[in-house]
Amino acid sequence: MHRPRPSSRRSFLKASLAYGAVSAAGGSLATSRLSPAILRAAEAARQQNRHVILLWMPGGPSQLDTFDMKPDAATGGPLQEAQTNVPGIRFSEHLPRLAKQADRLALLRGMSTAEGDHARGTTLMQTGHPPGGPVKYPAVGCTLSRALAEEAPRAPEHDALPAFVSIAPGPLVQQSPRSGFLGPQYAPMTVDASAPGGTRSLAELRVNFLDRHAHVDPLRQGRRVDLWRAMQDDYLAGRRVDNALAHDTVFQAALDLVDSDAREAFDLTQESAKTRAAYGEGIFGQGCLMARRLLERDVPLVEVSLGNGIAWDTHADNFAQVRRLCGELDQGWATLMDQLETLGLLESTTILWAGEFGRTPVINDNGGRDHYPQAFSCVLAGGGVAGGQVYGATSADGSEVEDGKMNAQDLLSTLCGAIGVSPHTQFDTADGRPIAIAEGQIVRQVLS
Amino acid sequence: MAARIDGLLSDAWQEAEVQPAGPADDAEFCRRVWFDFAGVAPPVSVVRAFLTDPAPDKRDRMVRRLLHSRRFDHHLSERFSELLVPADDPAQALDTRPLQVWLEERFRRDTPYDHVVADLLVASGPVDQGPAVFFASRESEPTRVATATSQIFLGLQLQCAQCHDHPFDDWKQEDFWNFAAFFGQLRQRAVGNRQWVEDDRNQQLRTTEGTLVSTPMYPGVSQPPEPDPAGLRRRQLTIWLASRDNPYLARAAVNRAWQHLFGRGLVEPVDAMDAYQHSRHSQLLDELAEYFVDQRFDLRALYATLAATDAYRRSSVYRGADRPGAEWFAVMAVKTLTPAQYFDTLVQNVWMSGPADTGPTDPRTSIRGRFLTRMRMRSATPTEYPHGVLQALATMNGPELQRATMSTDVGVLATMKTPLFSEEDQLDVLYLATLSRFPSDQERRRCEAFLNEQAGDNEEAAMAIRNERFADLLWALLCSTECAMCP
Repeated sequence: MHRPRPSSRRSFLKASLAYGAVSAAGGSLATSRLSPAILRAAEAARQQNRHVILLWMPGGPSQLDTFDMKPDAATGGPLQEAQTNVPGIRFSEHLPRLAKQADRLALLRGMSTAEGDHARGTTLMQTGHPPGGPVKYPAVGCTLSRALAEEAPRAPEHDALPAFVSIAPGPLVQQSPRSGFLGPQYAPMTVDASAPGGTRSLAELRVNFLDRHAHVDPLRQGRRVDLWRAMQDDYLAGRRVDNALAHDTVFQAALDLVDSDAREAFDLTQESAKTRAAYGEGIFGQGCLMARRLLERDVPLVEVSLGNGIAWDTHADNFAQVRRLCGELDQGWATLMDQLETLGLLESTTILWAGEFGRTPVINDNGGRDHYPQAFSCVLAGGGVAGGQVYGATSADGSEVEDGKMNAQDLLSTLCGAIGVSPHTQFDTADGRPIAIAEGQIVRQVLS
Repeated sequence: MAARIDGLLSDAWQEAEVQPAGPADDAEFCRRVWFDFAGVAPPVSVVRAFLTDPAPDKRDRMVRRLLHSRRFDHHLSERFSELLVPADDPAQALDTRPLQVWLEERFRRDTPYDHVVADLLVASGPVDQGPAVFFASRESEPTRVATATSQIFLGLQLQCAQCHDHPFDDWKQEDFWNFAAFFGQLRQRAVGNRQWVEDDRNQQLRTTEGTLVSTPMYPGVSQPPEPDPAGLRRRQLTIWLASRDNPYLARAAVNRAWQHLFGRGLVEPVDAMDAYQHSRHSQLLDELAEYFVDQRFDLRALYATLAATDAYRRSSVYRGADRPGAEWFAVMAVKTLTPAQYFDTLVQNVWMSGPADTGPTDPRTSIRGRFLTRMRMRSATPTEYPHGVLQALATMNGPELQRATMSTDVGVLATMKTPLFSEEDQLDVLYLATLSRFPSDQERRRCEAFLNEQAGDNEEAAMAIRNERFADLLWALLCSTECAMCP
């Protein structure tokens, strides 16, 4: 129930690190322009803790117009392929900056599942299990962030931050099981977002109610919290039951966060205009920037969703939509990897790009592509991943997986492998049944 | 029957050497029974009167009074309507008020539970006018309606067999599709700008593979059902549903009523009782289900019986290290208040602004609705705490507690200023309003120290400091775990 105490070694390390000025100073993204403090901090994080970024694509992105294009097929569509920085690997010309980092990407073109419904597909891809049934399986973000947090305790000044932050999750993700049987203390903290528009030139990301009531100063808050704590200890002495303890843990964590400097992680105004622009003005780009700020502060797992809602659900006008979404994706993701590399964090950060399913080779009457779980793509990148390769292949028209078939369990197991967490790590359900994070095949070829 | 329940439970404890908790004190019992039956904490005056009442049968009288109050019908209908149309999805939040009104009417008239269910399952008509919203919330899709019906009313997970044979229990894919066929005639269409649910006798269900399911079958029954004279499939279902040959309906209902009062079902999970025979309390469940049938599915009688047990009147406090597991029902569970219970208590006892949201306001956009939306999480059992840091932040820093604690001129803080009140009285009021009990001696001393640790330069300043301290105390009480729980 209680968050692990930091080890003395960690405390020592952190005592020598100043996290004061965290933004990339001056707006340049080059190493030389970053403050020494950041670089030292990043170095410590790099040595110690591993991180995961889940780039979640709600709606189901079209593999045929992104990472597994079929220019020669009748249903290939009008979008063009381009050469990447890895000979032989080609993908959409609308991902030009990612193409320059293809050596960091492992394209998994053999994904195949049986769930073609948004809600069911989301649950399957997020948890490894289809919905229904007596066990409420948690999302992999919850199990992995728990495993990572328990493995490597965080520095005291970052302890107030949650282990899993989900930025702008759409309704599908929010209704998916999330922490399942692990319980709410392992659920992600969600960050709300508003798209640019009106007087906003950049998307606005915020954690609501992070500020105390205006009439309460820190001294007064301190008094309140001390009194509250004394009440809590009395009450819990006679009622050590899960829901009461969870309420206490959650409220204590919230109180810690309100009065912690770590909350600056959520304040993107501390970044220069240039850095903010580099990520793209939309929710996804700004979310990637927040992900970087959270990783710098040792948050083990951040999920960033692209497209408020189910933007990738391109039943109509697929090609123009995908092209627009690719622009956002390319800018945010590529800048994120560049900056993580600069900070020395990319090596310890594994990135997974995935949605609930792919889209049909057949183009419908509305110029759209429909749901297609039989054959689609996911991408792994960054730490622990042997980039610059394609794993798996689909048939000439993209309708079947011909080689390197993977299901949701295989994907999650391979992700675990890249991070260095055993997929067989077990957590108990409420009635004591141990459940592994994932039970698929680890695809060793894509691991470094 | 109450004695029989306690007998069966204590047999189980003896075998496993479980040491039950002692009885709840009056304040604990009063708070519990109000939350369970009225959906809100007792008003301050009610707790005071109850605690000073010397009559030995005051607990029975309190239960009886609440069970026969409109509050009970209202609370029960709110619970049922949440169960029937879960509000998990804010994006497509349907207006469930007509359903709730429909249920409340039936509960008030003591309509037997089996009739309520049968009426609901054959409901047709406009979605915004009554129980048909149950179907509309599943888009009148036969498999989704069948899934909900089997989980909610039968406690069965037939749908696990939808795509593959059930891994744990006896259900086969065929069983699910044959059950879903009862809803195969369901059709939903737009009439003007409203949705209608109706039956289309010519419509038949096909499985995902495209196979026609021509004959609906009751789960666990090998004989095909008698045909309905009008050819209505849903009505065919209700004939069996309410018959003595259906063991599932009563069993699932008593298990849910038990969960309502005791925090967890006799068999868990309550919507997956398929293998209940292997559970610890199967005998108790069977007898209780039989009793419910004998009582002609009378919900009020069922609740009265459960509330009369020693088990329901046990304390949730256990100071020993070896608190017995919740599955023994030897210590009362601590139940997490629903956001509605917390909010309604805040309005009644702290804002003191009268009942919130009566009248025509759409509950989804009212002050109450906004709070409930913010606190909404996936459905959880009463012994889980389903909220995260965001909801805690929204509680402690949100507008509701701001309204409660910012000004000492409104709500319960304003009553602190009555000149007749001693400091002791003032503390009593805050504790009674938030926790439904008097402070203990130790708490009284702690609070007095807190209120008086800082002296003012003059009388006015001293008063301002005290007011602020009372507000702080109220804030701490409202953020406490105890305030968020039914004891």
